[in-house]
Amino acid sequence: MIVVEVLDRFGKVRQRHRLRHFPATIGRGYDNDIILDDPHVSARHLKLDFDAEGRLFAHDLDSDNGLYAVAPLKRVDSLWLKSGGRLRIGHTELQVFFPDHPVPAAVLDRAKPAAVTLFFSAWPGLLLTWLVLAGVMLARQVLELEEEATLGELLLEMAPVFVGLLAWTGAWSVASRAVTHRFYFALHGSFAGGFLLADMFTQTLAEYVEFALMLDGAVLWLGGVSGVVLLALLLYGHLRYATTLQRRRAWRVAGGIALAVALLFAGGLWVIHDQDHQRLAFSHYLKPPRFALASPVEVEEFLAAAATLAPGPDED
Amino acid sequence: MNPHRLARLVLWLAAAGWTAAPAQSTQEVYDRFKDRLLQVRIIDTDSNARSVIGSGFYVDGAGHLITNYHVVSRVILRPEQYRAEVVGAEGGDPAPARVLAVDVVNDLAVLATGRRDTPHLAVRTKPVRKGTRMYSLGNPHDLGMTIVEGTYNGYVDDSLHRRIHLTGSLNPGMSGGPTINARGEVVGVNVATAGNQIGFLVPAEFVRRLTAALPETPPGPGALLEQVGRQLLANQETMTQRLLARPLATKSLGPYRVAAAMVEGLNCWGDSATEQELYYSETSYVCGSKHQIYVGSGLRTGTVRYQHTFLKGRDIGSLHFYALFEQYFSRPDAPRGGRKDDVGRYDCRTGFVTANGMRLKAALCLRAYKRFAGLFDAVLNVATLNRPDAGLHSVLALRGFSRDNIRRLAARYLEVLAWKE
Repeated sequence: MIVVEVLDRFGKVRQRHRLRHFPATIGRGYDNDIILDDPHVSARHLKLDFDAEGRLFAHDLDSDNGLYAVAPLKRVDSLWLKSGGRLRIGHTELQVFFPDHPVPAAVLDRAKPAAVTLFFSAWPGLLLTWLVLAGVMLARQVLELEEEATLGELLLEMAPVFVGLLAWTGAWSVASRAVTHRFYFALHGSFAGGFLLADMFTQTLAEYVEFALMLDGAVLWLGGVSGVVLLALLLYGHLRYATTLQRRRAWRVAGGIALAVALLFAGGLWVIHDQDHQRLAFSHYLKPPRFALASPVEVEEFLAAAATLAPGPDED
Repeated sequence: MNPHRLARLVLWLAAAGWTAAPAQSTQEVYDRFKDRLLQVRIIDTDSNARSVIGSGFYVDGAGHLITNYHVVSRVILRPEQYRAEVVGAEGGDPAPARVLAVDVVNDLAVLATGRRDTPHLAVRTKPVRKGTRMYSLGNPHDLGMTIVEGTYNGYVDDSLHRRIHLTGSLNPGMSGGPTINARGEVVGVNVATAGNQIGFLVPAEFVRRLTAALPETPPGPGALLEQVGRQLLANQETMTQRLLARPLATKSLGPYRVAAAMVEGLNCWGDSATEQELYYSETSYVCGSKHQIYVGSGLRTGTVRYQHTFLKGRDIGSLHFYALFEQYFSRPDAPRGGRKDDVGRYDCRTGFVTANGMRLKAALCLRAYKRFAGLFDAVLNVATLNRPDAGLHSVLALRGFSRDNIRRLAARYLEVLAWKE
């Protein structure tokens, strides 16, 4: 028995076939042992067989485009093949292996199988994540309502977020399907929903920190840094399931994209702020009094800032 | 006295004798004084075309004319880009004019034309009776020199700035033109309109004051700008003294005590929103200057404005109430306007402050005037933090004050802010 691998143009395996009976034929016709879709391959193109000394050889069956030896590329009538040997017919490259062909040792997996991943890859995980997300968003909306609103109005306002979420998840699922032959829809959806949840949480936390400790800029910096980290995590998750990238490379790609997005965002923010000449840049967060932790100053001390704020060109 | 003038004197005497008879026709008034009127044009030197038009009148025989500061402000702020010229009421060749002196606070400017023996209008400084017939002259919308009848209605009640209220139509382009009585005495200078026959005049006494000591030669552009700066500084000093002269009046807004009308020169208004669908009720009280000083290109100054808003939550938790309260605190009504070369950016300090035993979150923001050293716009933005479901949002906005006066006014403002229960 031998194994014949059909390779794509990157040299990756597209199909594997086991051949048990010889002589075996390869071609586009349906009476072959291995059928190829390549239009440059003849109906009956190639024969594989063992000679009297037990050596495997390939023989051109008078095909239109012929048989080629690979490296160096050369047209031949027939050639002997060792395990791992390659040949080309039409635009298709084939590689043959004997059953005793050695394979490299397994790569040791240091990480344990992630329970979280297993959980979220299932539909209940997706449902839970999105339901929690919807609940949190609803609560945030209710807390900002100026007047009474119906549940329908609130849900309608959330709709664009979930439409976006669906589109995002769908796009990653299609990418997954194209590369890994599986959609992983629930998994991608959980990643995206989890990202939004975590981002909302850190933003809110940053607002409370800024208010409580009077840390001007906490939202900008804490929120910004956590946003980049979360985005990198999200992209890493997507990339691991939608591409064949290895862990380290996936981290690099995800981190790079997250940083680039952050830089674009920061640049945009800077341009907007730079153009808004009239902007009042002060820490505007207001939370219930029990969260006001920083100690207050007297009026006189606070207003002393009037002597130094906005130094003019003639002042130092 | 030349024969021409003598003839006019005779005519005046005749007119004075007829006061009981029907007033002379508007036509006659116009014909008698049209040669003292001018159109003032501000020319953009790049396009060599008019960018601003206004009116003016000769105030003495030395070719000096009066117009509004706001007509010639571009020449003062950007002399490299603009120049002034004047044209007589009946047309003729334009003659160049230079700015001799300004009164930015009262919106007046004196221009020198270099002409001699110019016919001019006299300035009336004696009181005028309410209801007296007036004639406003000027060139509205460049339609040609126009005369409009109006009625003198006394001074506008404003202890910070004086303006005459005229019932009559003043239109753009008439700025800087005179409003005269039947004898041709200038009672005021056309300056603004509030629409619907409500016009405002700069009282003639300020014309008299400005022309009392005119320099021989026009000062350079830098010197004029300095003059404007000095006047603005002096004006804010006077305003601050008036505002701080007496203890601040207070009023109640819900359970809070807040600053009421500081002086009679401020207009105060109240309003409230208590719709049942709302999760909170809102009561607001706003006070603001009636008058503002135009400096140029959207920069207005010399104003005080403050606003208190009392908010009370309706059966909502503190998280919900403060989320709504934040909407108010995050958007204070701050002085805006002004170009990049007029004003810098706002620079803020934020902090928790204790005022009369009550905790506040406060933000103080200042921005510097780039052309006028020592002047600033400021906003003091305050939210109380003493109740889970009620609060007071209070904003004090000052335009064109010194650092020290901003501090003093803000301190006085916060001094009275208190919780009364």
